[in-house]
Amino acid sequence: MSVRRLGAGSFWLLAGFVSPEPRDPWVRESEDFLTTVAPTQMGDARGSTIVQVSDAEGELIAAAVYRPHQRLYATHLQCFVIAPGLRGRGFAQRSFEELLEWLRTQDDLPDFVTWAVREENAPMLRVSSHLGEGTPPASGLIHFHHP
Amino acid sequence: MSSTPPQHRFRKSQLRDPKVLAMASRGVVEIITGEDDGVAMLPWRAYVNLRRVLDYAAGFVQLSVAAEHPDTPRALLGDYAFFADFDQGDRVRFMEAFGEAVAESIRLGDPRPVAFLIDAYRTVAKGFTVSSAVFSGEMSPEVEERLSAKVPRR
Repeated sequence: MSVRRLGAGSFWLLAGFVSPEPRDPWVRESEDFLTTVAPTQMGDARGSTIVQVSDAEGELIAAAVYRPHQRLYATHLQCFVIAPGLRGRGFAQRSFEELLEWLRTQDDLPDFVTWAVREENAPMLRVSSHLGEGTPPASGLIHFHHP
Repeated sequence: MSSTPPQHRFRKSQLRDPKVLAMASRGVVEIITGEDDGVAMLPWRAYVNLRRVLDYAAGFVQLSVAAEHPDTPRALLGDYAFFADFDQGDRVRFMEAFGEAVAESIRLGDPRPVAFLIDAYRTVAKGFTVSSAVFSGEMSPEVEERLSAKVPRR
């Protein structure tokens, strides 16, 4: 797998990340953030960056958005979305691991990564618990960090 | 479809050859007419896409001019009226993104790169938002204190 930043000319590749009727509300929320809000929040030092995770053949497996944490010297992973056709097939764990390692090893980014997961989002909580350390739930969220 | 020159050329006398139409349905074909200008045949969808890319490119040029004149009336911005609400920083960032997307659309002969970006801006300009601490990273002072203790020193 590989991770690369997307420029504005490539955002349209994210169009496939909108599923017709997502089962869970946080899925729709993340898809909306990835495909509509994040593309308008790029560009300055405090702005967001969109990345794609692809397999060896270049197929898009997942996409994610990050930006500098507003209060900590850390990168805040704002969202992580598996391509709709690949969900439930075991891609999340490996692609998220690849993404965290990529974020942690970028020279221009802090090597500390944070992200938050809704308590109801069981699949992402499982993945996050393997790869990060979580805080006790607060306001319906669990905040994770890596390493 | 890319903007590379046509791969296939035929003479006007070959127009009845079914091969001409078959090739034109897959890409650009040039018919040599004997005049100064030849005639190009291409799939209708490719033609429509190229027209849309040209429209976006024209919009980019018009908006580049408007960006230099902050008092440009909203009505003159047409499909890009949302641009009037941007501050200077937003304008610069938007124009950079718009330019990148237009360049990619021209390279591909496909309006989707720039259409996707403009749709996103237009939707957000209409007030669409998703607000969640998941995206913002906001946290309670207690959680922040816990995390701060874990952040490596610079």
